[in-house]
Formats: sequence, structure tokens, C-alpha cells
Amino acid sequence: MFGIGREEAPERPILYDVDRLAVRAARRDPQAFEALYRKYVAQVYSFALYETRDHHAAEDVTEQVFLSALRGMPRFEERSEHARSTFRAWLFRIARNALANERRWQRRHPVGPLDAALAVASPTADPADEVATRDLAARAWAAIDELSDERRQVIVLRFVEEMSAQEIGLVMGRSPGAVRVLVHRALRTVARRLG
Amino acid sequence: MFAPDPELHAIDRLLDGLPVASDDVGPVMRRAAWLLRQTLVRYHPSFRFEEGLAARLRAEAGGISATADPAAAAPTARLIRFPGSLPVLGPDRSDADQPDRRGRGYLLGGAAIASASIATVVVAWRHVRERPA
Repeated sequence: MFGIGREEAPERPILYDVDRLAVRAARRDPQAFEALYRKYVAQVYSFALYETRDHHAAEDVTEQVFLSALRGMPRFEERSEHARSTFRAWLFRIARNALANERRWQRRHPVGPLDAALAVASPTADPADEVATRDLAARAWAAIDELSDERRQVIVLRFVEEMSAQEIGLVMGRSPGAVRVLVHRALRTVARRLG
Repeated sequence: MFAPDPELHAIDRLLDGLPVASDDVGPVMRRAAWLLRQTLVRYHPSFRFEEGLAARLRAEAGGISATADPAAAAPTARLIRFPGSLPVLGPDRSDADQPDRRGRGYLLGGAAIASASIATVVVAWRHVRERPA
């Protein structure tokens, strides 16, 4: 065995924000913000949908996030206290705050689970496969539902938004090591639930 | 209880799609990771919502642009005097406002040469016409 995976994986520094030019353009001309909006609207909406499980609530959160981001562009710092940030990490920090407010509202006005999401998440054409996939998806969703807010968010950011541990750390205000621990624990919980 | 560090890094590599040794991440964890990858897909908002919010953001951006300092937003330009332009002198013009006299001389010289050339051409043309065939 060559020990693949045993070696210490080096921290992957975020050397360059891919949105740097678009951010500068949006600072000069707020109309140029639309490019950033088009790029990230689905990501923010999807994150909000996984958290709220309600299309309307996800739309409300998405709207709040982008309006806040547009108004707050002059305050966006590419270099934060500890590490270089990215526009996406900043956007998702805004999203987390908006979701925390939304969650407080939802606790007072609870809604049902998002069945529509399960219907979308079945890419197979074969009915038998589709039933099996739906069953697996339902079990996976049930397992994710039982995770704590923080672990669920880490899982969604890692799997849906495909963020690195470092970028998730920037979003959640945690170190990359702490994010890896959260991912590991969440994955272990899901694995246990799935049997 | 904390997981051993190599396992954390191995899972990180697995989720990045990098090769991981089979004894670093067990089959149960691999299956859970695979299942989550299959299940957790990205959802897109409706076209109507996306375009509606885009319009609202454009309006908001227009408001921000309008309230911004117009002097800072205006492009800066500088007038450059054409060297041969004739002076429009007022009684309180300083010497610094005087046009470049050398440029004015070039302009007058060029006009004289052009006039002489035209006159020469006209004379030659009349001479050719009046010559008996």
C-alpha cells in the first residue's frame, strides 16, 4: 500500500478570489453586480432551500441575501482578520445570518417537510430504480434532518456547493480542521442512520 | 471522541474526488458519502423569481448610482488648446492664456503657400486654354 490518504493533506490556501474582477466592477458600478447575482443565485437559493425546506422561504432569504450584498459591497473585505476571504464566502456568511433570522421566524410558524425536493432528486428513468433511489434519498434526507444545524450546513456546503474545508471555515467562522471534524461526524451519523 | 487525523484528511480527499486507500475510509463511510453525493443536488429558483429579483437589484443599483457623488462618478476631461487657433482676447487675459504664437505662424505660412499654389494652377490652366490650337 502506498499510504494514499495517510499523508498530511496540506492546507489549501485560497490564493485568488475568482470573483475579484467582478467585485471591483460592481464596486465601481453597482449595475455590474448582476453578473455576481447570476453566478450565485442558484447556490444561495439551494442553500436556503435545504435549510428552510420551503420554496417561498428560500426565495425570501435569497432576496434578502442579494439585496444586503449589493448594499454592503463597499464593506466587503477580501482580506479578513485571519485569512483571505472570497466573495462567495462573504455571501454565504450573509446567507447564514439571514437563515438564522428565518429560523427564528419558522420556530414560531412551523412548516412541513419539503416533499418536492425528493421528487426532483430522482434522476433515473427506470421505475424500479426510481423507487429505490427515492427510498435511499428519503432515508438520506431523514438522516440529514436529524443532524444539528451546524453539521447539516457543513454537509450542504461540502456536498451541494462543493466548498473546500477552508472556504467552509470562512463561512462558518471555524478552522479548516474543525470543519473536517464536523464533516466526519456528520458523515458518521448519516452512515449509522442508513445502516 | 475525536476521529484520528489521517481519517479526517482521507475523507476530505475522498470528497474532493481524490484517490483514497480502502483501509483509510471504510465501506460504510464511503457508501454514505456516495449516497449524499447522489441525493444532495443543487436546486434552481424559478425563472420568474430569478428575473424578478434581477429587476429589483437593477433598480436598487440604479438608486445607489444616483445617490453616489456625481463629481466622483463623472469622467475627468481636460481641454487642450489647438496650437494654431486664433486668440479671443479679452481685456483681462493674462500672458499664460495667450495661444502659441509659433503655431499661429505655421498656420499663416501654410495658408500663404496654399494660396500661391492655387493661383499658380489657375494661371497655368488659363494659359493652356488661351493658347491657339
